[in-house]
Amino acid sequence: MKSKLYRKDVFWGYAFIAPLLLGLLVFLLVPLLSSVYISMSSYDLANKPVFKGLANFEQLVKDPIFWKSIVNSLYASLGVPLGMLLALIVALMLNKPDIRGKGFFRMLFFMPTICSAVAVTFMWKWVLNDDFGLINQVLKMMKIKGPNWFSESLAMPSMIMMGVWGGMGISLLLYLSALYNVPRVYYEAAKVDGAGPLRQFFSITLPGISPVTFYILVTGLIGALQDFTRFQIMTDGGPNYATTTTVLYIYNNAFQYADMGYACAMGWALGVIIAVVTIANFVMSRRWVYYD
Amino acid sequence: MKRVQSVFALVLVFAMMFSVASCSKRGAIVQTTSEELLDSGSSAASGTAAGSGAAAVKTASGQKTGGTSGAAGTTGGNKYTGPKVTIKLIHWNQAGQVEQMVIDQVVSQFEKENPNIQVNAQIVNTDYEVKLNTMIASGTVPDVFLVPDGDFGTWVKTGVMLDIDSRVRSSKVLNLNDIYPSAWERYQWNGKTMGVGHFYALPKDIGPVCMYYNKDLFKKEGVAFPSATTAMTLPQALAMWQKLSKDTDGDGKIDVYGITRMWWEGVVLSSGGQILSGDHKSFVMGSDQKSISAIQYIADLINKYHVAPDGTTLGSMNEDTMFASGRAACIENLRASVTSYRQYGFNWDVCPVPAGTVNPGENSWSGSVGYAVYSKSQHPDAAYKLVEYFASPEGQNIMVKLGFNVPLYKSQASSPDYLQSGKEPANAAAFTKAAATQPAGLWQLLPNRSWYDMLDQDLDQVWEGKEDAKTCLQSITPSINAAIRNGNSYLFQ
Repeated sequence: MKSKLYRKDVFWGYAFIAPLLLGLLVFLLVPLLSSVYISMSSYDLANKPVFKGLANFEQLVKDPIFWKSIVNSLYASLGVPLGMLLALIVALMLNKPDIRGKGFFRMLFFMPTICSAVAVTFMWKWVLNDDFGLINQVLKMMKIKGPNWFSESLAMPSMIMMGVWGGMGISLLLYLSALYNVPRVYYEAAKVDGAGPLRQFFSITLPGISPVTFYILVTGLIGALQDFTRFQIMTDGGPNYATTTTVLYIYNNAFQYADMGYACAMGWALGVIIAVVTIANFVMSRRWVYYD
Repeated sequence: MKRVQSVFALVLVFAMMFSVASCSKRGAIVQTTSEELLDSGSSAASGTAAGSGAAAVKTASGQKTGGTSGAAGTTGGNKYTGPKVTIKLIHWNQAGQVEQMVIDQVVSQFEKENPNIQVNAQIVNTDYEVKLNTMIASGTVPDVFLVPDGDFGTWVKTGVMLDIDSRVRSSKVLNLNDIYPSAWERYQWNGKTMGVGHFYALPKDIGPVCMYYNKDLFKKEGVAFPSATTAMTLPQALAMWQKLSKDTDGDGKIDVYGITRMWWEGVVLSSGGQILSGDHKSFVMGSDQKSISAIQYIADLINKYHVAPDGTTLGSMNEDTMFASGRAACIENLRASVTSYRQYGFNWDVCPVPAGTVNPGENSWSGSVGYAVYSKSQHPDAAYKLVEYFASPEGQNIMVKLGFNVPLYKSQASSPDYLQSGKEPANAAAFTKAAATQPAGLWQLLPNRSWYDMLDQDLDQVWEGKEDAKTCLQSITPSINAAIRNGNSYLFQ
């Protein structure tokens, strides 16, 4: 049925992707499968893993800090929609044809993205400093007593604030290009039909950029659920575990307490949660994402 | 679409798995003394000063390989006489280039004295623990590796460290009686408990803790300097800090505090409080009145007397800055801070940390890093020689001369190289005095220290004034006990 030529092509096709497949196999599939086994064993890195069934998962279910860390990670990911909203607003403003210094503003908002996460975190540590941080100093000038930004209740909102600031650049760029790509003709047609700016925004702009919105949402949520470095530097999970994200907790168990089995079990649990969130995103997307 | 989803999910799982491995490091929970650089320029000429007091100690002047330099014993037992080998050493880098310089100096002297051993030193710039854990997993640990004392328990339990007990006890180079016991006890392990049993590592340094105080602020407020030799009692210290705390701009908020933050471990221990039960299997602070009052004392400094800032969750950076900018008159800290404090534009000195009256010597904990021999090393004899050399009077003397270490040896405590008269702190002797009595940190109590990290987090509620010490300590007891059990299950079998 299939021609000889076709079969030959298929052969060469596979031959060309073989190195990549091999790499995936060695560096992804093998670690993945072994992590399944490790998650069911007790493993201190030095000695062979000792199989102990589902004990790690049992401990996991009973571990209040693990659950707190999941809640924290979900809480932290609230920053994603918030950041998207801000990015969209700024993109809409910059998208006005008569705006001056568009490039400058674009650069300004993109700047945090290219800065080292460590440097940015240290800067925020100063900005938010309780006693002489920038924010509280400004508040002081206005005769307002600034709060302690790293108290148990405010630590996470502070982290979200920082995350929104740092993550806005990329969303902004994506939104700007998406806005640019919405065909002008729709707006003209809508204008002829008597649609106002609001109506145009909700009926043309929003659906028009919905694939990009979806992309930012999915990648943003995944990134937020895996967020780690800045928490480690900024708060090290405190106070009282208010900012212990799941990955930070995994890291501590793996590298501070050499409890790889438990860390892998948590890794899998988090993986499942991320997968569920993402699949839910995809399912919901059928209702609000419009591809041309 | 379906396929896209499943591929996506798979990729996510992978990404998650790797996010653990690739993440950046968090520093050792405790920064030990390694970062100490005083002044590398201190080259003080005399080589005869230090080690000469101890028996069987080679003085620092014995630099050539001739073997005639030993002050007392023969050199026969000290030298490595085996075949020519190359051993690997791995070390972290907490003090920038200084670390490299110090290691190079000690190693090159060691190589001169042991011509058959060549040392290949590797300095790890970041993520030392992660790097070593990876090496442990792949069985490629260097012959000699640095062990921060906070990681000793985790690693010794896995069996990556060679039992060097008989070598240490028969050593002709070391003089254990002359080393502060708390410096070497923390590298012992008997299969169940740390602090007793066999040697699995030897200390490279010791980092005791003192209270630094801003002399200018004391003078300005007319407050007498604390005693250089005797620790103040806790009520005395409170009274002193109250005199120093000031609201300078009249906004109702304190601007200059007496102290940044007392370290709770020392307050509890010096007050005679008990943290774990005798068998280390359960957490007892919740039912121990002395512990409760000690914790409440610190909380009151913050929330009741306002002599210490609240919510300082930013850790040492914030505290250091407060001290640097004259916003706090006192700060409790490791000796490692001496170098950076010397750059501050005010006069300061150190004194013993205020303490409870039961065990005033345990007014804080000291940090340390040590060296261990990899249990599967091909050259254990040569590797041990190097470990021993770092802890020997001679090796120590090189590091003390560089201004890097608090001497491990009591007999070196009065070494002018260490005391550096004319430089701050004038009361440098307070550190060696503290080294003699301060125990290791609480991670010493159990190999898996997750319970301790948890306790530290839980206490934030007390520092924030949300709960009193008693309520908090009692309510967290079950979860701390669970963490002790989960992390150290071998104790309960």
